[in-house]
Amino acid sequence: MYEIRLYTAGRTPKSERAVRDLKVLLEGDFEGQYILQVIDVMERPESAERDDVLATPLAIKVSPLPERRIIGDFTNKENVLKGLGIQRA
Amino acid sequence: MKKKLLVIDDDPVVLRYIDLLFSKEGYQVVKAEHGLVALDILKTYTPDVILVDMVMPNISGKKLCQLIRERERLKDVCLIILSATVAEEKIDLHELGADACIAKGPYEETAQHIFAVIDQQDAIPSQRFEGKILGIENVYPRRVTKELLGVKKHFERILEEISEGILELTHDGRVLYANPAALSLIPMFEGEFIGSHFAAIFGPEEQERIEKLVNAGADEPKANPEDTPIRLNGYLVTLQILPMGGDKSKTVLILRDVTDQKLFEQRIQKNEAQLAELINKNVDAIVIADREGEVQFVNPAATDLFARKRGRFVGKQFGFPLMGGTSTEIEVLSSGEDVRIADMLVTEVKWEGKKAYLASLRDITERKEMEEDLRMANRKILDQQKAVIDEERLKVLLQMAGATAHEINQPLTALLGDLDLLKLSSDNPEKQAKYISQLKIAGRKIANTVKNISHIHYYETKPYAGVTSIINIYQDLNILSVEGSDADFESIEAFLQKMGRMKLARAKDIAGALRALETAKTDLVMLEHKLPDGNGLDFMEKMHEKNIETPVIVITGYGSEIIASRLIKAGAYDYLTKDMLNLETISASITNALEKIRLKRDVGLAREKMAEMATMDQLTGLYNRRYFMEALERDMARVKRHGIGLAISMMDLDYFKGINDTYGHSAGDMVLSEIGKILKKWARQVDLVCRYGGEEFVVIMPDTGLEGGKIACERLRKMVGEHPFEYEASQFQMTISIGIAEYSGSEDQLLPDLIKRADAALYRAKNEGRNRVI
Repeated sequence: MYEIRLYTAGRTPKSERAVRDLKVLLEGDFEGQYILQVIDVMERPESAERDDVLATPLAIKVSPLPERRIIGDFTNKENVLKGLGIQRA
Repeated sequence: MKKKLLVIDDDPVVLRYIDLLFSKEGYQVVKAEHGLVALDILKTYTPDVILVDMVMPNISGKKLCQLIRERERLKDVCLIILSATVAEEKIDLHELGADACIAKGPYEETAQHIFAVIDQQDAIPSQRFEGKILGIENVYPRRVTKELLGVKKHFERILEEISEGILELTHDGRVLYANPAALSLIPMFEGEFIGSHFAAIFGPEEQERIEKLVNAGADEPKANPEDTPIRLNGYLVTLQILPMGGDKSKTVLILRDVTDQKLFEQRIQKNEAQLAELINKNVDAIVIADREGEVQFVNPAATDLFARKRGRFVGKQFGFPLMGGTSTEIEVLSSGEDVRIADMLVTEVKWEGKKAYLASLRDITERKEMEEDLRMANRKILDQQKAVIDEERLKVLLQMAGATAHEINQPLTALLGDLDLLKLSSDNPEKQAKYISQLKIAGRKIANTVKNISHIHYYETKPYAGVTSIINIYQDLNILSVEGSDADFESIEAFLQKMGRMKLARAKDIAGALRALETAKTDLVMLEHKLPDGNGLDFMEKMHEKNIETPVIVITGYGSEIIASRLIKAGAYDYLTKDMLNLETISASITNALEKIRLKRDVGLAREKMAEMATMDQLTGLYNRRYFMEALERDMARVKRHGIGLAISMMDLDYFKGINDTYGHSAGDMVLSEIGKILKKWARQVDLVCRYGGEEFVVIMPDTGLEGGKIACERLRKMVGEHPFEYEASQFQMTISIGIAEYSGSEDQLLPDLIKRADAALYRAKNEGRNRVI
């Protein structure tokens, strides 16, 4: 079970797109095998601080270890999976 | 004369035997236990015969033979090889330069063979005993020897091939062996090198270091440190000394050429220094993250952007930076609540020898905000433009509808009339025929009209009944064809004739085309790209120079999309390729071009209008209130600077509401419009006349005092009072009340105060009976 935390900054079209891209990706290949938590740094700055978020959109694979982070554009599936250290199903 | 013989063999028994044997025969014999000794001897001694044992511990017999033969002096010496391993190893006499090879067997026999060879050599000098190894019948192959020889060969091969230089030295430093790699580094020939002291190859400046190295710990392997290589013959090398142990031991020296590596490192260091400077001075934020996303390096701009000190930045997890396309936008969580938008460009780099990612971030927060503002402003403008254009379009459509109705009406009526008549004359075939032909005529007229309407892409208006203007649907389109080739022109002409409603003119080249455009009315140009005096692009340039706006359609050759797009960039409205010229494409292209130019004109007009609307009041043609306020502020400031005062007059039409009630609002508009004209006629060049409100006007009179203002305004009051206003057969008079206030700049007054005073004066004028100046 993959646990992913996605940090966005406010509800802008860009952050919506990031959420959507990631969801599509996860739903496509890992349906039922992941938990996606979307956190808005504006609303929950304490979480952002705890995870020391430098910039958004930032996706963190919290489990299984090791923790991996990706930042930027989530449209390319290969890059996202490689960055998060997830093997293709 | 005594013959001289040199025997080289490590077996002392063999040496003694040969010595005794040949001395008895009258030879002068010199003995050497191994190669080095032999080489030393041969420096000064030139024997007639040399006996060499193949298997010797230091310099191999093979090598020794080669070295001997290299020496000029010893070229013709009789060289005989004594080999104990003939059965196990092949001997190539030619390669060795030897004259004969004798297998070491029983001494007697061996000696016999030697004498035989010598005699033979005397008889026929430089005759080689090729292929025959003397005494071989007495020897048999031994397995152990064969294996050892195999191993030896194997190692020899390795030594030949490796890139490190290997030297074998005696315990006192004399060179016994040097592999090809070593030989390539040293400044000596092998012949000289073997036997000499190895330190000789180094220059004087390195001798001290070499000595230190050699003397430090005799039995331990030593090396010079890698970052301080030793210079050798123009190269930079590292030295490894490996004592082989044992008594009278040998030492192996390993030389490694690090010249290139050093240079390379230096170059990298220089590059890194340059890179570091570039990065640090860079105005964009640069973050270098390793493969795991951990920050390795940040430049000053980055610490600024992220509002983090280096200590809290390097080592933290940035993330694996992903990019889509040429760059990606991300939000940087800067200090506190501040979120900056950055444009991120990622490149793969090598950082400290490992793969890493360099993210270059440009702060575009302000730019984004500006873009948003601009977008909103544009949207507003576009909406307004659209509204204005739609209005115009609507007007045109209505006019067209009107025109159509008008044009169709007549033939339609005729047609219906003729139908009736036709019905009535069913008994008269002659009359019938007449009516039928009239019907046909009417029908054709209608059809034509309809066709014209459906083909209308261009219109001009013509006056109708002296009041309004309607669309002239019979307008011919003036097309100029610029075509060098007659054949091509004819085919275009054929197409265009089919379209109808157009007049075709022709020019044969660019010069002719420009002349035609300047003299005759042209609505559209059809241009052949390849012309005798230039091409389409040249033509577009000339049009541009002369500011000619006529739409141009270019006809190009097959498959020239690139040229086409350049032409369109240069201003052409459309293009057609020769292979797709037909009625549909041509007429579609023409329609398209005319649409475009009409739109262009519409938008141009709309823009002009809007600009005016911003400062002008449409109805009266006077400046509007907003403009007045700005102007007054400016003028008051000027008064303060130069000290010459101004006056403002507030004016109000008397009983204006009454006009609206009596004659209607159009009358009111007419009055206002007239008043505007009067005011403009009355005002001086320097005065600024504005419509302040519904029926209120205000004038700024610079360089005017109260007295002067009163006189001027009195004149205006008379003009208005005497002007005959006409509306729909009615005539009436209007009067105006005026209030004046002056501003001399001396009192520290604000703009609203000045206006209040003028207003108060106007109020008094109204109260005291109207039609006066206060």
